[in-house]
Amino acid sequence: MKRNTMLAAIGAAALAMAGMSPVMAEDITIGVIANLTGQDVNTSVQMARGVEIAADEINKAGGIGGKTIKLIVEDSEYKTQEALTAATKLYDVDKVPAVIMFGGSSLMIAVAELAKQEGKVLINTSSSSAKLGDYPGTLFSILPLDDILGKELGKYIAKKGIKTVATVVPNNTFGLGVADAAGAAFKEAGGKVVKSVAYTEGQPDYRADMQSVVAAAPEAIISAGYGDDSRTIFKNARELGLNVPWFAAYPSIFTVENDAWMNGKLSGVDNGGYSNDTGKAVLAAYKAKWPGEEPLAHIYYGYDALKVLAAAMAKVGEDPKAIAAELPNAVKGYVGATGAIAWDDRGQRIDPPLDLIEYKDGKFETVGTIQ
Amino acid sequence: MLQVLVNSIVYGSEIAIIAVGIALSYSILRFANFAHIQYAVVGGYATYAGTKLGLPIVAAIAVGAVLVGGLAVLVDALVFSRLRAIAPEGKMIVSWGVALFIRAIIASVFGGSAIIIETSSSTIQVGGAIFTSLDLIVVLATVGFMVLLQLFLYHTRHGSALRALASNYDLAVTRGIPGDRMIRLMWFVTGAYAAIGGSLIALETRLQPNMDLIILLPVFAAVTIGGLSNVFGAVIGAFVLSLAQNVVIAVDFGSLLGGDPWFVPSQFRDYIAVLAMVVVLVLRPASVRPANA
Repeated sequence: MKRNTMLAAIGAAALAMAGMSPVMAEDITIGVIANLTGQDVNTSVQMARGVEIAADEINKAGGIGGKTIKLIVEDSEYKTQEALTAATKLYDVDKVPAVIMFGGSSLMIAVAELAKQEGKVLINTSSSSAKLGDYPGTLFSILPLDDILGKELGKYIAKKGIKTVATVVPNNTFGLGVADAAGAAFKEAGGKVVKSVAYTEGQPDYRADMQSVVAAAPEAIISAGYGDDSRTIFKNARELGLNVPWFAAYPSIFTVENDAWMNGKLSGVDNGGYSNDTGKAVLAAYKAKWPGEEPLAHIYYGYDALKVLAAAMAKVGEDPKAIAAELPNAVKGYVGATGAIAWDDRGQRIDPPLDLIEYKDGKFETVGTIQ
Repeated sequence: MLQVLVNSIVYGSEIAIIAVGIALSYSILRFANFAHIQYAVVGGYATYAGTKLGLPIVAAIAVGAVLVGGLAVLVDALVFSRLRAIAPEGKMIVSWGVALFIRAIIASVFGGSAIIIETSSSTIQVGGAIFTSLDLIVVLATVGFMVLLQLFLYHTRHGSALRALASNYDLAVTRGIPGDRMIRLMWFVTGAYAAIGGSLIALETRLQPNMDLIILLPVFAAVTIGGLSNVFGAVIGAFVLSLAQNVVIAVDFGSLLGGDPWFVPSQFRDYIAVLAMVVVLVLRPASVRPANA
């Protein structure tokens, strides 16, 4: 806990300093929006660090066309209004052509709307709502959208021979997207969803919600979620004796509450592909720059976001429209820290490398892949 | 329905132990102390800090209760004692300021993330109801502390003095009851009870700096239902409110109306608290006028 707070504080200070350094005429400025305060600070800081690793690497190799990349980092506080304020400042005052952003779908969609109006580029590193596909030419996602991953999750659970499930997800675009996609795929394979819970984030306990799941007696739970809420959900489930397996979209972003109870119970579909050479190099760079601090997968998304953006800018310069047009070409043949990136015509990632992971002995283990 | 009853008793217990302090301070000083909620939050964090320092949970709660009792006395000495003459509305607003100040300190010391105090509780199943051993302890502790408060108020000289002050402050002081000393005692008791309540909530749920906003509504609704200055009215208010909240979220309104199952989402519990307050204020406005403790 204390470590997370410190991490966040150090990260915030480092990023603020990076943002404050004077911008030279020969610099290329790129915006980063991350929640440096508010909820899920650690994951967001990790993403921003990934961007920083990519910037260091590109600058060391001579920058983009001889110009040095300068990152301007703004805090969204994980609030839509603050994210919009940050985006307005970056696009209008700092005149950046593109912003790399970490934030929930509700924040991302709002900023995408603004970027579309201003004719600028937004690179999404964290949100996966299927609605993000509505901004072709503006928003490009490094993360695959929920419909892709949710579908794989539903099929995976059905293959395990499970017949009934309850869905337990946060009541937001991400949670509902996963529940819909996974539930539909599961039903298609002959399963039955006996209870759907969409909980409000930030509640101190979810006892009543979990009691309704206990009453429905499902064989397993389909879930998505993160941070403190996921921990509280697990605590309530454990106390109520709900000892069924949990299958999740992105289980690695859950906060596990009780190692012993969760051992072998939690598995699911997560983004994969980090074990390639680029991923290993990013991990090494991270460990050199922030020794002793545990990295999260988010560094790889931040890294790839800036790398593909820089590749497009190296070809066409700093005009946002030209960058948007060039980005789909820039990813062709690019194998990043998150694997090969392929986009559909909406700029949304398709055929991403997906891992099947399981929680065992206090950590996640990759037990298979889906390609 | 047994489950609903169990949930109501557990939640009502958590609320009641905090609500009595507001009613007690209101009965004597005639203002709603918003900082009281913050005493509960500080109590929760103090218990967490105590367990981190190696204290057993019960000892941590006890130490926290004494410290927060002291904090309540200190806040009175620094702030409220200087405002005895101003209108209750003024004191109420100042108490909100005090609450925000304490909240900011908590956030800066413990950080903004949620904290869970580790407990090991077992699951108990009676009939169709499921609850935990921790729930049972929370309810028993609340009953114990209520009995203790009853004994203190009605069977000790200090308790009688506090009731006399609540009944008619000036008259009680004229008759030789040391008003200021008794007020300090009252603050200590309310602070300690708030801390115990906050610790029980923290054990059941989680600690976060905005925990105050989560408990504010139900606690004040309980006190309002109970008649503001009536200590045991607040306890009854807490259980009535808790039952109303849990029944509303447990009823399948969809099936009742002949459609697909549909429940009121659990986060609407707070709105039920607001509704309960409105109903009381509209139907029984006289009940919230100052009365005897």
